[in-house]
Amino acid sequence: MTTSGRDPGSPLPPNTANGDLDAAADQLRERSRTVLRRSLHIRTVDTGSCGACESEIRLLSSPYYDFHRLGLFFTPSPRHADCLLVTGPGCRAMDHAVLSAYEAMPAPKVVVAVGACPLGGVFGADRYTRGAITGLVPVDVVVPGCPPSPLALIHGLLLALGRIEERISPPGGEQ
Amino acid sequence: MTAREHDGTFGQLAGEGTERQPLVSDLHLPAAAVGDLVAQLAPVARFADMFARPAEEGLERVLVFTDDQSGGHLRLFCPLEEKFPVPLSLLLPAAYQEECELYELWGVEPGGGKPVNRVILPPSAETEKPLRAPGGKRLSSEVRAPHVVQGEAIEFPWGPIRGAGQESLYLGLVTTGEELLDAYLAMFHKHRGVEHRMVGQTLARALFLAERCEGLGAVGNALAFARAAEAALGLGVEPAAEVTRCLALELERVYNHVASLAALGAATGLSVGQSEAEILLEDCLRLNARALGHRYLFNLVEVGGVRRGVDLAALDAGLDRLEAGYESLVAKLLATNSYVDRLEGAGTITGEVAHRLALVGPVARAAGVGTDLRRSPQVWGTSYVGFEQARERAGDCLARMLVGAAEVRESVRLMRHWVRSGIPLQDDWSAPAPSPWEGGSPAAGLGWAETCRGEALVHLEVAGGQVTFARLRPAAARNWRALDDALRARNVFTDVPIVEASFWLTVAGFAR
Amino acid sequence: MAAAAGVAVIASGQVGTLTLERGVAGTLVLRTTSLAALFMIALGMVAVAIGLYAPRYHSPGPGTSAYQAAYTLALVASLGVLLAGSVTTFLVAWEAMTIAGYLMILRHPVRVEAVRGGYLFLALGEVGFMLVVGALGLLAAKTGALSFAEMAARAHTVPAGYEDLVFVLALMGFGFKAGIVPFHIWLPEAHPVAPADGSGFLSGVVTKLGIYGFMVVAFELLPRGPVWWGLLALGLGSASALLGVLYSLMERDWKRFLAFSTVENIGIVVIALGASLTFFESGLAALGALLLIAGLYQVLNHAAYKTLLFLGVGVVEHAAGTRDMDRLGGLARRLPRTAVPMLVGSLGIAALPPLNGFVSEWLIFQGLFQAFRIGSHLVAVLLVVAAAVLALTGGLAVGAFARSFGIPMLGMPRGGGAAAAVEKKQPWLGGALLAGACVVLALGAPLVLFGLSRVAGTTSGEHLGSLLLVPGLTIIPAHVDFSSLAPTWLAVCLIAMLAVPVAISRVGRGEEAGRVGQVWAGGMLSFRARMQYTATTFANPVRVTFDRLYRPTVDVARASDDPAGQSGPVHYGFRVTPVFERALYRPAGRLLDRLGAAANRLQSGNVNTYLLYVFVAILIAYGAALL
Repeated sequence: MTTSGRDPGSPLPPNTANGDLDAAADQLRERSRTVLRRSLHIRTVDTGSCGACESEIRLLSSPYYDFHRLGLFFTPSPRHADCLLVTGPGCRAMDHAVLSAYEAMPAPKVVVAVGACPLGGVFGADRYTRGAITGLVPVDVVVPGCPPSPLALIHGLLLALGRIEERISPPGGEQ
Repeated sequence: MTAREHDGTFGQLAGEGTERQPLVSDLHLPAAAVGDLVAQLAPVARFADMFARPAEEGLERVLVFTDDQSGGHLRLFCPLEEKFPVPLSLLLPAAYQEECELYELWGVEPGGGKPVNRVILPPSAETEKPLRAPGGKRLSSEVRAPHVVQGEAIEFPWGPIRGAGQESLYLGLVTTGEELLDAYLAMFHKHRGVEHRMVGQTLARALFLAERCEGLGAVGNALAFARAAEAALGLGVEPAAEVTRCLALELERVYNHVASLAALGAATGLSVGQSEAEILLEDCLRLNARALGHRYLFNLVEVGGVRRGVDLAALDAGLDRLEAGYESLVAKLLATNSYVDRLEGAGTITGEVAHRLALVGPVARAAGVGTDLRRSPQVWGTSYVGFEQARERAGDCLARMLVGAAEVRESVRLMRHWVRSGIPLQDDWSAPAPSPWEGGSPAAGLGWAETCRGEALVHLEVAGGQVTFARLRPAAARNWRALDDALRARNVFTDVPIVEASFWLTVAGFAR
Repeated sequence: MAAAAGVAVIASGQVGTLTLERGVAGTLVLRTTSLAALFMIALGMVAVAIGLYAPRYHSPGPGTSAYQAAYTLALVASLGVLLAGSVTTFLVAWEAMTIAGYLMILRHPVRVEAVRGGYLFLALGEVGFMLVVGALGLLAAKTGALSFAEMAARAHTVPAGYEDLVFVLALMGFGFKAGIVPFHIWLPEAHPVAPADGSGFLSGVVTKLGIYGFMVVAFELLPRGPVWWGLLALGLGSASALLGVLYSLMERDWKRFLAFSTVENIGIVVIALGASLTFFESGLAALGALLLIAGLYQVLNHAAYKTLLFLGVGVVEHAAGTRDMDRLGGLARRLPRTAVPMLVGSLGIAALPPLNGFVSEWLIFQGLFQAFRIGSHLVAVLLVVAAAVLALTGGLAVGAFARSFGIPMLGMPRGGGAAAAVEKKQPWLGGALLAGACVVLALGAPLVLFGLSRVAGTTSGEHLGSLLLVPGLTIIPAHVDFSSLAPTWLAVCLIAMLAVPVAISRVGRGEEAGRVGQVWAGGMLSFRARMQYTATTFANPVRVTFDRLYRPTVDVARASDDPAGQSGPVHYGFRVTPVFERALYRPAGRLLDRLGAAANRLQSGNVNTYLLYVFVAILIAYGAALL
């Protein structure tokens, strides 16, 4: 996440400005054209979030952000998903659901952890929650924030697309 | 002993004088006397909460009642036996869910052989042990209400992973293929043990958790928590800080009602309405960020005050834009027959059911049951002068939407009044340093707030600057119970998202 | 037995091309017509399939032997009906067929339902028989002939009023056997209780004999009548088709479902025949012949796929122990050699291309759409309404057979019986043979139509062959510019299209091997069989839409109706009483009861009273004779 000098009167929340977004959008178009055929399909999973991250995720498809123009889409079935967007601190009762969604996704797939919770920033590891989801599924990109704004989420998704390229472009060059 | 003899408050019940009516009255009773008193109270007062707290000897049952007229609260304390002879929910049907919670948290059976539903413990929990009872106590599976569908009905499973950006929740829709017969709700997936976690934490850290318990009700829950702490510690709050809190609470109410409209648009397939509501929602969130520093108003409320001042100019300008946008959106929605027809008659909650289930907030008010705590001047001082409570009678989705619209109007009016009242809201009203709390003697307090979903309640016990026991009861925790009744009242499949959107509850608020 | 049936096929195939009359021995008059030959082909096809099926289906024992005797008798009697050349021969064969059919239904006479189903079959069969006797007797009396050929030759001497009466009596009388609404109620009672091959025979052959009898009267003995004859048949056919499919959707019992589906299919045949009569009577003989061909095509098709489905259900019942669709599930994996033919049969009966049902229903539609050529607007509109009813029926039938195949065959087993089903020792050859017949009837449509047009030609005097077919396997039923179809090429193209996704997946997969994973169910812990749609819930939207017709009695029980009560068991049940049972048969039954009670008063048990009755009766008879 980057911060740039912004107009104090701007209604946009901190973290990102439009210039970054446009540059990132160009970047995305370039990459997704070759790797994911211009579109990334996203399945969201809530593992115990407070609901604020969900609210921001829902706004991704709203007219202000309209992430469809970037080739990003929600999909109800993980069978059609390239990206798993995980929120929440990893409630243990959701372990099975998260794993089965991850298993159901076709390769190549990326996992984006959204907000402070899946990084362990709010709840600790105990009987109820894992505290962080990194132990459950391999996390490729994290988008911190409590909650991260929709622009931050879009930025994270763009990073996720870059990550796919890193993984598969050089043969045998996996990190 | 009658519940309310003369002036309609709990004060006399608790044996206190009439000259100053306390906001919270406490009664300590032997277990045997509880039944009689509850039977008397049930028709006249609203059941608000029931929980168990560890006392010196064993467990103690705490029942909380609210008097909606005066805004006063009554707490009943009585010893909690392992097995109650009859389930309290026989006298007080609304307490059934809390009975189930007592079982899963402390292993106390409701008694009378009444089966319990699952509310907190996931069925896969490797050891069926109560979550908070000490020792090796185990739960018996015989007490569980069976979850079986018979005859020619099926259970249509939905969840726990549902639509994009929806909270995790299992909804088992018992259906004949078209009509809904019943709905099994399972919300244990997200239980995070927030109350449990607060024990041993400092007040600041516990407040942080109370806020994250339900993100879309952060101000309301944090406010109820802060008030409980202030009541326990005897702290006062500056009037300007109090108004800032009210302002944040109203901003939260407005954005939630707008978000509910967006969800209703999505549920009815009215994309234009959904998009307009989403534009408005984003405007609200940006207004929150500019006026109070956070899109969801986190980290604002503090024990004893607020952390930040208000950007009054930004708020004043934003309110005008908000009001215009909202009024135009609601007018357009109500002129769209295909939208209104879907809402009308769907998910009906009658006034009787609302009373029986002790529902709170817009859901109850749409059914004609007035529960708005903001009416009471005794609680709020002069902040809510001239406040008018929104009421509808029909109890369906349309009534809830109309209640929301009326509440937004009232909130905007109140906020504009505060902004222009000359109160120095722009200043920082942070609480004084927490030194008086250190080493303080044990104390308990009850706090509440009328959040966008209804009354949020917090019972807090502190000692030495640390939380020793906490009970959070966000408004969502009460109202989820009504969803299955709303669903099975002559509804079909496609009404489910509409009913859910019009309730606008959060799973997080239940699975705390 | 199978050999005998095979001979029947060959014989009918031979004589089907030429009409000849032979053999008069006493009162027994036999003949073959090309129309009867066609029904014999259907009968032979069914009989061969049953012959392959029955030895493995029935366990040896005295009951089985008795049943086989009854079945053989029924088969011979049915052949007799088709070969009968005179009224008396026909009636004797007809009654023998009814009684043998009754004995077949009573395979397990200790079961209450078997007794009831058999009783209904016999009682309604006898009522129908009385009406048939009335119709043929009246015709014989008015023409003064007993042989069908002579009656047909002298048909023009029958006064118009008597002609009308004969037609209505024949339509009703044969309607009882064919299962035309409202005379159909024995089908859903008798089919479930008979053994599977018996049900197949009842549905595949016995109901067709009702159609045959009606056709003999309507097309041969009374060749030209007023337009309303055709419209009456059209109306009854439409009612049968629509009500048949609507009630079939409410059935959980697979065989009752198939029985109502037979009502639907018979309705489609009667729609075609009624429209054919209407066209003939309106002077449009070519279109009449076209619809006659279409109706006969539907007869052949129905004999093939309905028998196939009954034989399949018999295997399922033996393997899984139940016919209740809502307790089955996942059988396609367990009984593949039954499931594949049943899939073919279901596709066929649902009239989906490229199978045989599609060809015949398409032809019926093409015929009905030519209604605008009729001068009378009213008649034209009624024909188009029938086409609309047929379209609705067709749509519902697709849903009905998606349900009857999908619910028991796919998904997870809903009961222990279905989970434990094995195909070992189950008969499958009969079903496979009939599935082959369905495919032949579809791919060989031009050939079938060639044969059928000759049958229609000799039956109605209107030869269509060259008009119907053009080279290149294409059918042009009405007019060159109106419509044309090549079922053979359609089948080839559809199957070729199926290969495209298969090829793409083969090519696109590349090196990486596929993964086999769990079905996505929202991340829940355990997906249970109760979470699948059942036959009842699948059809529920139809039930809600047609609630006024069904008027179901619903019973709902929840663990607690108190909104604050615990969630727990939820029970839901409903029952539909068909409208004719409600409005016609029950009142009729009550009336009969009352009449019986009244008549009972005459029966005093006193010998002197009976002597008085006899005396009075003689007096009356004598008086009548004097007058």
